[in-house]
Amino acid sequence: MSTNRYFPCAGARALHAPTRRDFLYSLGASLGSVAFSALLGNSAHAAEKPNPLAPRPGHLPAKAKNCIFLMMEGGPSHLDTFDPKPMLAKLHLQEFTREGKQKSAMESGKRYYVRSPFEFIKAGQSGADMATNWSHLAKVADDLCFYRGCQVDSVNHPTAMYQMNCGNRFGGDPGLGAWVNYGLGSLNQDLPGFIVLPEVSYPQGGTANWSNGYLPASFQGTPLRAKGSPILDLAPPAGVTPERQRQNLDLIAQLNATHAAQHPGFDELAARMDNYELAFRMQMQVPETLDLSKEDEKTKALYGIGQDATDSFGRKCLLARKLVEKGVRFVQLYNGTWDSHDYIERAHGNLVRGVDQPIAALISDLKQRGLLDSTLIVWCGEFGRTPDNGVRGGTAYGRDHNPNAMTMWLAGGGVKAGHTIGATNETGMTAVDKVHHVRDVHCTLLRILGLDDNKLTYYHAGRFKQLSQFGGQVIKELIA
Amino acid sequence: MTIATAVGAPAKLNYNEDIQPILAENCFSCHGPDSASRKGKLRLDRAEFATAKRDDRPAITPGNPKESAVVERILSTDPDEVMPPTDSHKQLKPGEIALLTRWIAEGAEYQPHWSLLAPRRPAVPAASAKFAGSVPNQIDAFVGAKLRSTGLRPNAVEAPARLLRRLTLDLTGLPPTPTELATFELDHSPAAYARTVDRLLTTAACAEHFARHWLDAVRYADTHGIHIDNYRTIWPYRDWVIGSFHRNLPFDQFTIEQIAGDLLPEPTLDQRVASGFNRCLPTTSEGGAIAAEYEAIYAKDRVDTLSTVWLGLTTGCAACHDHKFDAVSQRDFYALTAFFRNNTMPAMDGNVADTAPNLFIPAEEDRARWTRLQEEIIAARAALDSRDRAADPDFVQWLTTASVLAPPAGDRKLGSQLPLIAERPRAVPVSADSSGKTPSPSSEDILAVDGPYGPATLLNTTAFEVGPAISLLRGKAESFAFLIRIDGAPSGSLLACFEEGRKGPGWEILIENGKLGLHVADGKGRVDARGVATAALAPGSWHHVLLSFDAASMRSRTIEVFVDGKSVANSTVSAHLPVDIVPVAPLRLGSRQATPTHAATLLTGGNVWVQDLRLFHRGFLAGDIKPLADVVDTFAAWRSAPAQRTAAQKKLLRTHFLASVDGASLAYAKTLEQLLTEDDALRLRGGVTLVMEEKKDSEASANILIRGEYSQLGEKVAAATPSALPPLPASAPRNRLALAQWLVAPEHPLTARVTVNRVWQQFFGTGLVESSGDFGVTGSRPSHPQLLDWLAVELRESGWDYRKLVRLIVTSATYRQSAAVSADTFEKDPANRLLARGPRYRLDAEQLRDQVLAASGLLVTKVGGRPVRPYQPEGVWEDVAMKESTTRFYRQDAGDDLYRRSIYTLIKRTAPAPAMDILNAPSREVSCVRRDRTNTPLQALVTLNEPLFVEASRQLAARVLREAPPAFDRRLDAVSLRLLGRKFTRSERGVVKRLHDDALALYRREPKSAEKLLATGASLTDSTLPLPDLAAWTLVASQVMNTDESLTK
Repeated sequence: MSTNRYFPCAGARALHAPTRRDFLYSLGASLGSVAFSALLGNSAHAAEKPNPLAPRPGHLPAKAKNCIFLMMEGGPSHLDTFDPKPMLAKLHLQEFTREGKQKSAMESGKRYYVRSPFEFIKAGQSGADMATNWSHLAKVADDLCFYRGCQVDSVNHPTAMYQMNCGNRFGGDPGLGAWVNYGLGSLNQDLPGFIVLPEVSYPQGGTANWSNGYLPASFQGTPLRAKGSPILDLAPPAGVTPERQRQNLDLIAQLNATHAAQHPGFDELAARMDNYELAFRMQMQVPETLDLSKEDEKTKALYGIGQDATDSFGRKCLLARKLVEKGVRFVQLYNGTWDSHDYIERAHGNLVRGVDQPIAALISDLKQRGLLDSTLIVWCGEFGRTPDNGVRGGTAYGRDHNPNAMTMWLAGGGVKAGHTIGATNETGMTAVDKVHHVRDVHCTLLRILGLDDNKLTYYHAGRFKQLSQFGGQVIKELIA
Repeated sequence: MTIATAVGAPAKLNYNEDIQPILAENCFSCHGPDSASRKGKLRLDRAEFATAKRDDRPAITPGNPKESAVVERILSTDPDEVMPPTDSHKQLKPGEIALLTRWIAEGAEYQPHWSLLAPRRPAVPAASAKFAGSVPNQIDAFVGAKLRSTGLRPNAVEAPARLLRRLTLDLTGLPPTPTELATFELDHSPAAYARTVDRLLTTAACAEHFARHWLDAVRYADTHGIHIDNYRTIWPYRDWVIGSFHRNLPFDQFTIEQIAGDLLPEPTLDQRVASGFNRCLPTTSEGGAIAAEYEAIYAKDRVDTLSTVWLGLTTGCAACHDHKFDAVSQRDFYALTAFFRNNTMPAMDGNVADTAPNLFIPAEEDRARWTRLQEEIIAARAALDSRDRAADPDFVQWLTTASVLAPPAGDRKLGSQLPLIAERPRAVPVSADSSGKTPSPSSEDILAVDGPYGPATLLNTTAFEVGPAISLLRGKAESFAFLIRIDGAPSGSLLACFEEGRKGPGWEILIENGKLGLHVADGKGRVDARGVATAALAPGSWHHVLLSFDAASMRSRTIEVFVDGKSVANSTVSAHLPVDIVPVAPLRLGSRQATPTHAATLLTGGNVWVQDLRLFHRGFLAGDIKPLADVVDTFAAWRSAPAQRTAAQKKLLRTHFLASVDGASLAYAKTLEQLLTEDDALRLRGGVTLVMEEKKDSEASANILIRGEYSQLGEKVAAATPSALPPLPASAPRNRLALAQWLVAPEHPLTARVTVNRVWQQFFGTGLVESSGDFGVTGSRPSHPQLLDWLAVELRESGWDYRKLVRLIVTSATYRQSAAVSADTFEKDPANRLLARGPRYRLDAEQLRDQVLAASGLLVTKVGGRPVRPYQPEGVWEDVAMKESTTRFYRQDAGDDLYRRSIYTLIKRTAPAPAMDILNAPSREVSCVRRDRTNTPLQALVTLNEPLFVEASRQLAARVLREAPPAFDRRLDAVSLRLLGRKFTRSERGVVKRLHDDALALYRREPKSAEKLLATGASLTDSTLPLPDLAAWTLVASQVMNTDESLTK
């Protein structure tokens, strides 16, 4: 659910909702209006409207044109994945008391350091630090650019999720995918330009994580439902074939066209006709796109489809590749929850097992299809985890939320692959080198996609708004 | 907004109309009220700061542009000097610069923000454009004057049928019937329209429709919202809103009763229900949530809602900092929150449906009886008490003479009871029981031990059928209780409706090595859950066992096993059953098999005695079970030597005597039971609702929260209204009642304006002020300021007569205009802000659903009551709900409740009904006074393919085949009249006929396809109608339903 009501300056989202005027332009001149232009007495309005989903150049030369965002909801532990801290083995179970801002709201302040239960290797030619259980990802280690300097503002899941996804921790702002489509348009007019593949349970913060915010609704993330029909009511009623449905739509189109001819100024009519056509094209194209059964067995095996541990995320990764192949600009995949407050060995062990092979497969599959260079892949959570835990003893070691240190990695087009940028201190509690607020990460991602955060603005509620909120800087070290 | 102001330069520039918009757009974000973002220590929003002396010269020197730094900076060509700064993306147009310069030359006179000046009734303009075909009222004079000044001509009146459709949809949310259309088209008298307006305004449908708009604003929903998002019972408040619109409660009273109904002197039941407005906010009960944080969140949410709905101000910005644009300081904001921080609502809602303070509301027709009944119940309880006080002699007498306990009398929820007293009592010494020896069932000595009510039945040898199968159905409650005693570690079936082998659907209370367990399965694999207690029953003593199944009330666990009143940890048994369990096997005791053979199916490993099996039609919580489970201790007390009995034991025995033995008490109890039975029935017809209650012993106050953080307490402030608005009367108490009365005080500049604007928006799609929730500096300016003020004063002076206001709007010639528009007019005024044409836009989500329900005849017009659950795709709740949520599994209703108006659909905040969501119904998480109105492909999929829309098409087709003359044209007329309010033209008919004939031919060839299409939806259709015809007409109806004309008003 959206929790923006907690927070000022975002709570009134509905009040500043885009008006219908915005939607007039939302799906202007597509195949539908061309097809019907003969029927329309006066199609001038429809034909001349700019289509906001039409592809357009960014502000700067793009290094990648699509983005696959792998969101590990809950906060993966950098200390147990990509940022080893030998120091923690020495400090293991040492007690200390945290004070002040570092003191989590959940805890009394009494803490114990916890060593990582995972072994680490230097992977690839670049020698990237990786826990040994990332055995598949290690094979593509040289394609990754690890970044250890990112910091966020919030220790709570929903607010941190909003900040990572929308730039604003209060929710109600457009998601990254909405901004990218707003800036670049869509490369496929038969599918939404921003597609989300959530878990069955939506992440903390709910649909506001992929909201269009104050941008027009055509930029909203379209979540494919994890169960049942991926898009509600996509299938025609039983007993109605696609041909029948086509004829039905033709009838509606003709009745609407007659009506439109009599009432040339009925502004929403043309847009509605377009939408019925897009709906029909989605009926035709979406099931095919989502049908993984036609993929060859080798590919499916590569992604771990069919194996219990990897089947679910493997399907999402393969689907992400297909969507990017079809020209969907921004695909966001959710996995989790990585919120391992206890039993981190078991919890993170299972989570890594679920995503390691699928993600490695996604990278190598994109590469062999020549798509990796034009696709930006992002892997991150909403924050990192602490080197310490409030519970002592047993196998129950876990870690709490940490806004001051995390590891994220980028891969694909424009990324400084084979490098690890930034560093955390010796316990991994906080970033100390190449430290940047998450807003700078956002500016960097936009830059790779050819967009300038300062130019990618939208006038709303009295000022020009932007993803970084008040401007940020590109982290040049991350870009090749 | 780009509406040209009046043509021709006014004598003198007006700050509010000409200058302020330019400054707000370009200057105030750095030189406005917000001190934090202010640059160069300069404020341009108030005269005293703008004209103050500065190092160089004042920013503005009235009367002297040359001596005004503002002008110089604006005109500067130096990129480091020019204002607004280049990096702000803002640039003044030459015309704007000219206006600013001229205003300074004319003396730079400032005014307060327009909406903070109380409206005064302006003179109705005399010169106005002419509206053809209808009698203009005052609204038209204002609209017409503006049209005249812009050169646009108003449209002629809309054609009668179309007008009636617009009016009926606008006033009731439903389409007109063909009869209403025919009557209206025939009645050419001038009064016909006004009569129709009056008729529609008094319908229940109208009240429902207006209420639905209001419920968006107050964010009404049926779940708590945050975290596990459990069910909440507050629908009587929703019904109060409907009732208030139905009786046209004046808007001032409507306001006062909602904000402070509980604080009115001797509030009526209705007024207390109305105070539930304050309880519509989302709440939490998450473990670990910090109360102080949520109290701050709740207070803010309430102020945001109040501000949006009545003040039209975005005060929320001031939670962290002084408002950047409006004259609302952080102190103002927290002083407003104070009004809402002095009540008894707990910060944690407890995840229960009826979080206190709450109130039971009897159904309207039960109210008199309910009040009397409560008195009678009190009297009956008093009679029981007085008998209790006098019962000692009889109790002592019984204690010395009785030989056995008596089973307690059943209460009104007891379904049936089986004493299970052995026929051949033969007591064995107590000490032998716990020896652990397994007696041989074939032994001639049938072991019988004393149970509380006599010799107990040994289950090992006496398995039998108790009665027919008992299903565990959603919406129902069943419980099973018995007393049990074991020796050894027995295993086997105790009480079950399950086939041997447990393959099919069924349930069972079982025992496994002395541990109680539960097994539930639906036989289809969706539910097959088994759980066994961690500890075995102590052998040799009696225990009370109870299986509670309760899917009737919204509880966190549906099915639970209790031993001696304590829940037994059955973690593998799902807390909620997503499906019904409908066993085939009858209810059996001691074995699952029809004719138990000793060897395989009976209990093994130890003896099991049972007694007093009871079946209840209710569920139990741990606390409810105690009186039943006490029998175990009572029996122990009974068997103790009288001299050894403790005081607690004596008390137990006395309680037992009164509840089960004493004739006088039993008689009183019977009377009480009868009254309670009646009370149950009344409670079922009424409902509990959440209300507001003020703390009596403290003053309303709040701390300023620094940067909006709950833990950063700043100065303490008393409840007060914002300083930029008129003050509260000095004599008024600082509480919600005073706040509410202040909102509707005659001098208040905002409430009336904001209200008439929202009503205007309801009919024209856009308010006179487009940003209907923001009348502040960054909000839109009114398109017709004088009309807004005239209507505001009119509303107030009419005694806040809401219905009169609506009547005024819908009888205006402006509203009655045709919606047709030429390309030229569209070019000049695409958004129809000048109102040279009638309103036309897509219907709201609820209207679309209700329209097809009405057209098809499916609509059930019952008003009010508990929320209903119509069709919804599978998994919508389940996929997002937390495991323990009472709204995890969506239990679709059956029959009439599938076809109620959409206002009655249960709203779960975290999982809105997808079809409604796609059509822009808000999730009710925050106040919404203006909906999105998108136009997306996903919407097309809903209205084309959603089962309800397909079912409605089928029913409309059936209706037409049944009722209309058989000719194609007549049938098509019947379809289009119900959906579009008109008959198709000849050419349109031709188009439809081709589709119809095609489809008919297809479905004649493929009757199976027809059957499939017609199988959508739960309602039945007349089986005598030919399937291919019905299918073809279903398609026709569906297509007409999907035309723009049908989706649009």
